Amino acid sequence: MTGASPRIRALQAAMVRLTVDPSFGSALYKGDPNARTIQLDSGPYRLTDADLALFQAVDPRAWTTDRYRRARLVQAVVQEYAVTTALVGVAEVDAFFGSDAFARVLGHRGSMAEAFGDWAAGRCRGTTQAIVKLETAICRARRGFRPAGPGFVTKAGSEGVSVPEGTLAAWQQGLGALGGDPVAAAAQGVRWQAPALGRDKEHLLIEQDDQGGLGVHMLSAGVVGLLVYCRTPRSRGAVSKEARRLRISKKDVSKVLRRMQDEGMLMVRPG
Amino acid sequence: MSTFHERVQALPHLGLGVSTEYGATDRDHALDPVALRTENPAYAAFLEVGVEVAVGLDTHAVRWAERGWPTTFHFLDINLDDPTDFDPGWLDQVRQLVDVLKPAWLCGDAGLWHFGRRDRGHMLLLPPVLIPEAVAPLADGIAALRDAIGLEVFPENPPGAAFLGDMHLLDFFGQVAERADTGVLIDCAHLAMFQRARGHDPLTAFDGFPVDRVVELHIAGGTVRDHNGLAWVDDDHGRDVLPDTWQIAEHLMARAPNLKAVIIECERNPIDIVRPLFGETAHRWTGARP
Repeated sequence: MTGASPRIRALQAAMVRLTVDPSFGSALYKGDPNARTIQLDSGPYRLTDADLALFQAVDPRAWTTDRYRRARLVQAVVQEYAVTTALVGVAEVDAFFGSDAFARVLGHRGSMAEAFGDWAAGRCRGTTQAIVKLETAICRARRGFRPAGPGFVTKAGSEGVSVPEGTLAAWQQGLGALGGDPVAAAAQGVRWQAPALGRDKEHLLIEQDDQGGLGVHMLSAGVVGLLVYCRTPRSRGAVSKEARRLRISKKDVSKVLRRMQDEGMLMVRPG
Repeated sequence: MSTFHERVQALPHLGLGVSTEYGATDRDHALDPVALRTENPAYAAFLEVGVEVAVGLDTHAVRWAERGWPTTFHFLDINLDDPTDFDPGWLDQVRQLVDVLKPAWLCGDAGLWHFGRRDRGHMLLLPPVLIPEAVAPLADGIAALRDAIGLEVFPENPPGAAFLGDMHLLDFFGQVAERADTGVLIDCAHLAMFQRARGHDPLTAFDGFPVDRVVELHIAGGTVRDHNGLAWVDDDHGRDVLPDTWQIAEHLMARAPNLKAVIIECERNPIDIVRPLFGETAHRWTGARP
């Protein structure tokens, strides 16, 4: 089974985007060069004139008959980013669905929630950015997705994140401030002002527990850095180099990697 | 391996059935399939269970299966043209659910069930791109799923207000069925939506369609709505079946020699409201049999 061609993938990605993003629809129907380029994991695909004609044969209103699709997507993001939403506002969450970052999810078999976190973190600073990074790590831990491939890879369901000291406490404070149903409060537009954070860093491991919940542990900067680095499978040489960059002394690298394996944080997939 | 036309002879004749999915029976005013079967076994001769693997089965579906009553398995979460969707974990879970339901076959809309990775919040349903290039990957996915699970897999024509591609939907699904050597499930309401969206009569393009591959039909109510001046059909599974839908259903009931199952999709309505639909469908099917 070979699967659909890049052309089919690109047409499908454009179809989905048309149901969510009217500004993309206007640009595509006008033949805007940017709208005609669809980013796929196999590389960019430029919609041909024939492809464009297929779209133009469809009444553009027909793509948006489901008036609430975008709102449902916004709601799905808010459910995982309650504190972030209280900091940045629902309109900022909505803006993600008009972004290239969302378009990349469609063409790259990506995760909407994870991509939102990365996109939002790039658009803010300070405490807000730290909270976004923490909620993104929680999101990733819940999913436990790891790309295929051999080498050292962080255990699925375990996520490392390094954020300014006090981020975890501030996030918990934010959840509390949003009341008994933080998601509903955030979705209804309740805002929250985060406190200033410390200058030092806290290095967190967020991991799924046996009951389907999440636990948080404080670890060293080096170990958390390696957990982040090995979200994608890496060769032994690359991991050693990254460990050195993270200031793990040369004589300790093997010991640290062995301990991480013994404790189940790091796996080695055969080639 | 034997051909579809040989294999179809071994499939059971299921008759009239109802559809459900996780939690549907627990909603206010929802149809209770067990109550319907108790009232009239011929109206709920089997249950078509809509399954999103990540969500699983509700207690109503499990209890139905535990009684040994017939089922079919309607998938809600696989993009058949995407090999990445056939991951071992998903296939294992499907096999486990099949062990519980013991369905006569698998079926489901052959469209885009999710964007991006299969993930929470990513679920939707869009029709396939109706161009010749899209036929082979879809057909190969159907054959791959049939091989992996060991049951027939019947693709269904999905709903939509927008259909991309210059092929007629019946030509497209006819070619998919021939290449996969499979039967098909025609959703008469979805087909009526397509014919209206393209400005066709309800029976357009049936002349070249392999009706001997039709194994199952879906019939459902729909509502014509307006969206910024565009009239479109909302596939709301209500009690009011459009005349186009009946016309398509009767056409196929009269000509499809391997038709074994007809689902009335009305899971959000109480029995008193939709009882006449079952009677009318039974009457039309009996009167139309080839």
